[in-house]
Amino acid sequence: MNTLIKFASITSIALFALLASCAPRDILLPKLGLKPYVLSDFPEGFTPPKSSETGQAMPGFGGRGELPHTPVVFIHGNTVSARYWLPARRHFKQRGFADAGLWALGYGWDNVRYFDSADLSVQSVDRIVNGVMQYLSKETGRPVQQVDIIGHSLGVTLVRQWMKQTNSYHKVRSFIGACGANDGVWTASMDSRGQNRGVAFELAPGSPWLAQLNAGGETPGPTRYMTLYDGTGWGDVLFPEPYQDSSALEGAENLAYNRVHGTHYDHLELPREPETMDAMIDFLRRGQEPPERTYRPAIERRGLALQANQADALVHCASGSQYPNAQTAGVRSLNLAMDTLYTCYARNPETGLASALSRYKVGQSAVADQAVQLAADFESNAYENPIKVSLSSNDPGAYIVYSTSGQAPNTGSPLYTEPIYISAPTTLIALAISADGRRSKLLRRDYNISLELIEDEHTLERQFDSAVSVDFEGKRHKGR
Amino acid sequence: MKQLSALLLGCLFWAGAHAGIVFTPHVSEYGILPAGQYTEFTLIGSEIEHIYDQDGNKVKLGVPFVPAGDSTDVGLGLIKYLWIGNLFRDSNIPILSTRSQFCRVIGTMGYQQNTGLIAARARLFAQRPGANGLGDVFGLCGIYGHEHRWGPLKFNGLIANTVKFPVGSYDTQAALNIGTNYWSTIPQLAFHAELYGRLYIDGTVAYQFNGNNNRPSFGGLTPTKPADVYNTEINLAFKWSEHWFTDIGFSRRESVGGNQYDRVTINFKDQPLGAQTACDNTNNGVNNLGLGLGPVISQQLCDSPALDQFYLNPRAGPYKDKGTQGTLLTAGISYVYRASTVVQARVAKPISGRGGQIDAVFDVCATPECGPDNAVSQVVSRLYGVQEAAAVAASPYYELRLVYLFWAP
Repeated sequence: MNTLIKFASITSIALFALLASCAPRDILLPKLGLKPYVLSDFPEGFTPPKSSETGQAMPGFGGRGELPHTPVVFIHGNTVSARYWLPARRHFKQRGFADAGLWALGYGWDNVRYFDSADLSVQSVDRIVNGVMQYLSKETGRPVQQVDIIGHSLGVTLVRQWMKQTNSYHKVRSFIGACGANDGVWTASMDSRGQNRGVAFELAPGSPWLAQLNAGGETPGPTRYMTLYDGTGWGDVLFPEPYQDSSALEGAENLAYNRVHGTHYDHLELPREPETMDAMIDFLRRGQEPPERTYRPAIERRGLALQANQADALVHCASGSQYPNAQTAGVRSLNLAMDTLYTCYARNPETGLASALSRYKVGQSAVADQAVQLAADFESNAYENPIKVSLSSNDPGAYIVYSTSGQAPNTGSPLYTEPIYISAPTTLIALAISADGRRSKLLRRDYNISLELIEDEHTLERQFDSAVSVDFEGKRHKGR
Repeated sequence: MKQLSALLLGCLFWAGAHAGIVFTPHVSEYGILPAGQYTEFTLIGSEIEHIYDQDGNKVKLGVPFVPAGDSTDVGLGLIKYLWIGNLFRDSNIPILSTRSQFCRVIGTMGYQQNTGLIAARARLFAQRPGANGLGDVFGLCGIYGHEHRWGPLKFNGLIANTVKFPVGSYDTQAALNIGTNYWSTIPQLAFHAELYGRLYIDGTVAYQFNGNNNRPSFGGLTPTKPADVYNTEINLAFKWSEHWFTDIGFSRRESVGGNQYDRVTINFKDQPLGAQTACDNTNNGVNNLGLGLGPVISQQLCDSPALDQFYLNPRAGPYKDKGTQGTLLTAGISYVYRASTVVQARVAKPISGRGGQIDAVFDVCATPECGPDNAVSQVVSRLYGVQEAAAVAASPYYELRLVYLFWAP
């Protein structure tokens, strides 16, 4: 018996030694000279893009071959990775989806130690969607201009933020958001201090970040929306009362699955059960498949009239700060009223393809004899806490658009209506456009809402001597 | 001697509770948590005024040799560190690739002191009455099973093995010890279930293989060959809201056979004993030494002017107790703050138990170097075993637990 005990003890000690650092696998194993296994089931010729969070090539899966339907891109939630969607891949294949039409890529750290963030991953989603469309276009020899996206948890608000910040609604035929914190999640809080405070700032109930995400309508653009969530307040631990309908979106096909069907699926189960996946498949298949070799329409402005450049296409517009959505009625031609801001997209009902959002305003500029200027009240810098950046133009009649995706904004980018809430390391780029069509120079600010800055300001040395300088070298994304 | 003493009353039973405490499950103790690292701090306190004897009777500490009222005061701190992940994910290694692994390290530190007359009694036997410091370290690794669902019931199992590293401070001259001085390895099966998302059930069965203790403390009254122990525990928690849980639990530990003691040396520090003292403690019913001696020294010997002093010396053994058993009920309340902090207060109430006792043989001699060869008599004393393997407390303990995730919101 003593021999057995000693053997068990030594074995356990060895295992402890291996795990002693308790680091994430992707950090621990390379230190031991081992290469961690990574899910990388991609077709030949596809180069997985780099994650903007990790700086590493994204893990995941995809396929090649026949593509008889709009490809589906799965976007996972916080602390997991593309592997999360392997059961969905199997089920969708069983339901007739093509290998080339099922994709998932891991944008984050895949570990609770380093939480992900929507703002930090917008670029990753942009790379994923564009990368898949480009690959499939090249592979099939025809333009693949749309995808369907199924997001889960953080992946829901992440995809919505990506569509908004990059004006990419037209690239998404159908979006299904499962268990998303569209109106916040109870575990997140505005006074968070942990490693994941970025995502906590984003998803805290009532956060300015969510308010800006939902501003102008919760289901903007030509995209079809569906949500899938618990609804009972007990199945999904993240959405108890009164947050049980946080995942629902106004204008979407909302399915509180547990509430409707009397099931008890939890946060991780909900989008991966055969019956819930069948509900998603049904929604996707009700979407319109574009004929081959058709192209997106565009909006043309002729004087005060807007119309699409395709004979069958209609123009869908909303005025003021509202966005048009899939329910917004389309017209062949729209006459612009003076000093009214319109946000529009064109959609061809024959093909189902749509244009990107764009804005229009006609009128006189109050500073017709001056250049249009744009200013921000926060300079590029590192800040300990989230900031609200006010933008102002010398032309009070100009409208301002901006982007936090790192891309230059266009007229369809988010409309500035109130100070912009910056809660993560972000590059803000803004543009003012006068009613007479003149544009300001792009205003660019790099903001680092930095946990590292806090740490550096509160070193033990500085506790005793506040005169010790803060050794902060600049932007460093969390997790690095 | 009926009872050489309840010498061991209050001795180091607390260290004996270590493994039991470590294994008492909490809310979602065995549920599959997200991959990552978790920290936990637990503070346990108790004022032990009662213990169990070998017949399952609840007896007051020190009685009848000292008046009731004194106790063994105990404070125990546990620091737990949990890692969950999958080193083999995305590989093609069967079983491991799809099941998360976990490892937990548990450090212990403790404060244990006998109070008042109980402490004084320990000194009669040249023993220190308390011990503080770092305790043994527990390490465990295991693997989760898959999660299953049947309608409103969600379920997962796990298998793990814990090793107790006997690195804690250990004093062979102490009545109480923080460390145990023997290895243990504890394979374990456990499960976690959730019903309707509101009722959480965690349970485990564990078997504790114990190694030998070649340096028993407190005069050899810690077993040199501690018996193996099996543990069964179950905890039921109800979720009232996302913030509030209450739970009740049941825990039972029972040794497999008895503990063995083969190095018994416990004895009075000051010898020889005067004739009057010895006789008072044998025939006259005076228990000032706490010997509880039987009428082993005849009145004739007591009255003999030739014999004015006596020596006692225990025979080393081997002895074997009847084994131990301890059954606890627990009740607690937990508050969950966001996803980062859990604060739990809990009380554990022993409802039955059985402590280890041995009937040790003492030679009574009229001359030094006392042993069987020169003994004028032999007496038998019923002694309490001490420490983890032998002593079972009958007093409740209180637990305050903080789980904190530094990186959570």
